[in-house]
Amino acid sequence: MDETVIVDNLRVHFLLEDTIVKAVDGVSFHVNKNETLALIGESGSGKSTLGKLLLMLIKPTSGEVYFNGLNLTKMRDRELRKIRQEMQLIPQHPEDALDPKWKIYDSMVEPLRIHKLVNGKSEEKELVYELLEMVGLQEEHLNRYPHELSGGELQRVVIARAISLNPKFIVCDEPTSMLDVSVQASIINLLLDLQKKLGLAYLFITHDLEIANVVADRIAVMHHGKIHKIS
Amino acid sequence: MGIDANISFNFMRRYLKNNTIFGLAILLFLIATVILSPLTADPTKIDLQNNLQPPSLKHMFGTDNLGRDVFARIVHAAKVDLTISLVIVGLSAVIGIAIGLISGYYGGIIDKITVCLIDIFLALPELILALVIVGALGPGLLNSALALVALGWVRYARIVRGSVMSVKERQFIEVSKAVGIDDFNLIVKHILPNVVTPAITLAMLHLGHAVLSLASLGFLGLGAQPPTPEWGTMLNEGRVYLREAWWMSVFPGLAIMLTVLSFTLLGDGLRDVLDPKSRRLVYG
Amino acid sequence: MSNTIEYVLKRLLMAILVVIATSALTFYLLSASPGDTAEIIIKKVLVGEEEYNPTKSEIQTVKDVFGLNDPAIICYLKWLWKAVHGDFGNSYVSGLPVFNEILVRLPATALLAISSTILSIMIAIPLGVLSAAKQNTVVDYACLAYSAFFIAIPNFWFALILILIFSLYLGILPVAGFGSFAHLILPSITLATSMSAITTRLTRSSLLEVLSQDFIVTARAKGLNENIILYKHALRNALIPVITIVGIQMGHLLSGTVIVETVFGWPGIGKLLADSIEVRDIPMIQGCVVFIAAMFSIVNLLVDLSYRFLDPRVKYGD
Ligand SMILES: Nc1ncnc2c1ncn2[C@@H]1O[C@H](COP(=O)(O)OP(=O)(O)OP(=O)(O)O)[C@@H](O)[C@H]1O
Ligand SMILES: [Mg+2]
Repeated sequence: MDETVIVDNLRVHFLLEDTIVKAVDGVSFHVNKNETLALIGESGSGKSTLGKLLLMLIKPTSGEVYFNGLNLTKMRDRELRKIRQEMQLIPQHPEDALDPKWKIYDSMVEPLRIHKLVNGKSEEKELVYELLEMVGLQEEHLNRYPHELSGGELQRVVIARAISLNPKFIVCDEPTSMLDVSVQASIINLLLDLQKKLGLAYLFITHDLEIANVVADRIAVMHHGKIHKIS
Repeated sequence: MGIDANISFNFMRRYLKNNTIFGLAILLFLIATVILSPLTADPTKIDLQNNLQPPSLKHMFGTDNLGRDVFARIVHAAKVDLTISLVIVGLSAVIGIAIGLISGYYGGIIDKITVCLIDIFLALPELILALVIVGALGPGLLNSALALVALGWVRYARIVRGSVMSVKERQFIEVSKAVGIDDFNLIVKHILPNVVTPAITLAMLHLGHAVLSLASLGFLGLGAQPPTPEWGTMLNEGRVYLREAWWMSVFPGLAIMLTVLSFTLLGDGLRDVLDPKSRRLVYG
Repeated sequence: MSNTIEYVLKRLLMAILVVIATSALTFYLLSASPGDTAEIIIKKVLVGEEEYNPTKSEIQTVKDVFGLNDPAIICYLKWLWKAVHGDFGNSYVSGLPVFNEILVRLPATALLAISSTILSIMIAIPLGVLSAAKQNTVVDYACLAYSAFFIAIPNFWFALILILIFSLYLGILPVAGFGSFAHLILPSITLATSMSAITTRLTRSSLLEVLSQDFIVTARAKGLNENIILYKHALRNALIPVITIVGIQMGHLLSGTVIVETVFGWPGIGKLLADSIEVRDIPMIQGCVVFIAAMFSIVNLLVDLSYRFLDPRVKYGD
């Protein structure tokens, strides 16, 4: 069993006032352990929606998602919340990915606290410093609010937060599209680095074929809610 | 005539700042009187020999028809009016914010019902509804407060619901869900802090409004019942003696005015600090 | 155009719903409140003594006469059915039809509402314009202070102060009552000042906003006369939000009139409601509330429509 994620004929239809938007329309694929599957497609083709579906942040209209052999679509909210430790999201807009009212430190430890992975303040701090080092941030950032950080720094915080739970699978939704070219490269390197170290599988959403070629083991092309080819 | 935006902005800032200080000064003065209220004469002591005495050294604001010291009654009424108004605002805010959070977050049928209720409540003049409720429950301070809470939550629910609807679409909410937060913690720790600011400003303005409403019900004889000193009730009593004893009516009204003025100015100042972009004028 | 009609119909439907909901709420509150309705009628209306202890047969008779034998929900539905047909029941106190009584009182309230609205506009628009034109001067400051004070002044108190000065001290206006122009002055001033407090501020801020917009700046650059700019171009645009507020205030005026009519003994609907609440004349309270709710909804709808008519940017639909 080499697959981490298996998607079977997944569909989600949004009901708007007088139209149905078939954002994801019958999609099947799988992501192997330790692998990066890049998902490319033009704007509005349903990439983000598909990413959220895999994490059960949106409920599918029909179809199945398996994660390490478990059927996520049949799970209750309570069980899902537990599973979330093992699959994470790095969203499209880092500048809005952290609660503006929370200090960076609090945002970083939130996942640890939710899943009760640390006992006591000192252990918590230790882990945070470890994470800081992994993603290349400094201690001084911890006491700031999100608006006091640059886009690249924010994305590093988001990544730190995502890997803090030791996930097996991360949906990276255009993690570099809002960043400068120079910063893009460093973030991508960081992600690849972490993948090696931690043995992660990525669904890497992008609409930049060049980036896809750099990061991906395989590339899936999405168009109008359907996946056309996987190479 | 200069429409230099910069100058005008600075002027407004200064104007608002001075006003806020003025409002704060009145509030501190009111709090001081409440704290020092035990030092005044007994507000319920009847002295028929000395009734309807004009203001003098002994009775700073004169005496009423039963010979009670008007100054003492106003000071003790401050305690009643301020605490009850505070309770009204506190309860309304808590209830309204909770309803706004739930209905905005979950949507669906709960939200439909809430919106319908809000529309109905806002489609009627508040005092009319308060009158009906108090009329039904019977006059009294507690029933008045109850009626004002029953109507007061609506505005909080409305603004909080609106903010929740937009905040819940923000990415950080999704990211927190992705790490496995439950609904309760999501609402309390992430959504609430991001929607509460306008509700706080509203509460400040609501305080002034609550003092006015409570006094209005008192004035109509539906609020606090004698001998409880309450500004509106005192005005209702004083009205009959307007010809003989102007002091019975003038001073309680001044107290109401100063209090409301203080809360309005503070509310303006608070909004200026908390969310300078909005420009709602008054509570209502 | 059909869009407009659809919008109006939707709003009318909502208004009807609101009025029905209000009547149900009022009915529920009044009949579910402590104390048996029949007992209260005997105590408050027939005997006039709170301590009176009615006998069983007295209560039964009253129940039969006033039709109180059914459970509350049936009573309400019966009332609603009749109300739809224009019959709002009879007053417990006078025995006269509620609807007629309200119609009799309507002109007094309408007169007061209209005169105080006009007066408030006559105060607020000049003050607001003055304030904006002389922005950042003592005049501006005084106008802002005026509005801050009148937002804070309780109108029942201001009414007493006016009586004290103009009726008791100067003796030039009547204390209370209805019938001549002199009687109208103090109640109108009371209501108008509190209304104008808000309108003044709004006129000022709205005018300042318009004055900073492009087309005014262009007009200035062309060298047009400042006064023409101010009155002809700016004011017209600035008044749109003011109209909305004035309209909304006219609705709220109905609650202001409860107090002002009580103070000045003005025989309008507000006083009727206050008096009915005192004696728990349920059909009358019910009638007044429904009437006020209906008026309020209609005024709100008209305001909305005029706003949308005046400001073409506003689109129909929610
Ligand atoms: N909650 C929703 N309700 C209705 N329609 C939606 C919703 N979410 C997404 N859509 C629609 O689904 C389609 C796919 O959206 P999605 O965000 O997945 O696109 P995307 O491929 O990620 O685009 P981009 O590259 O711009 O991020 C779009 O047409 C969008 O309008
Ligand atoms: Mg996307």
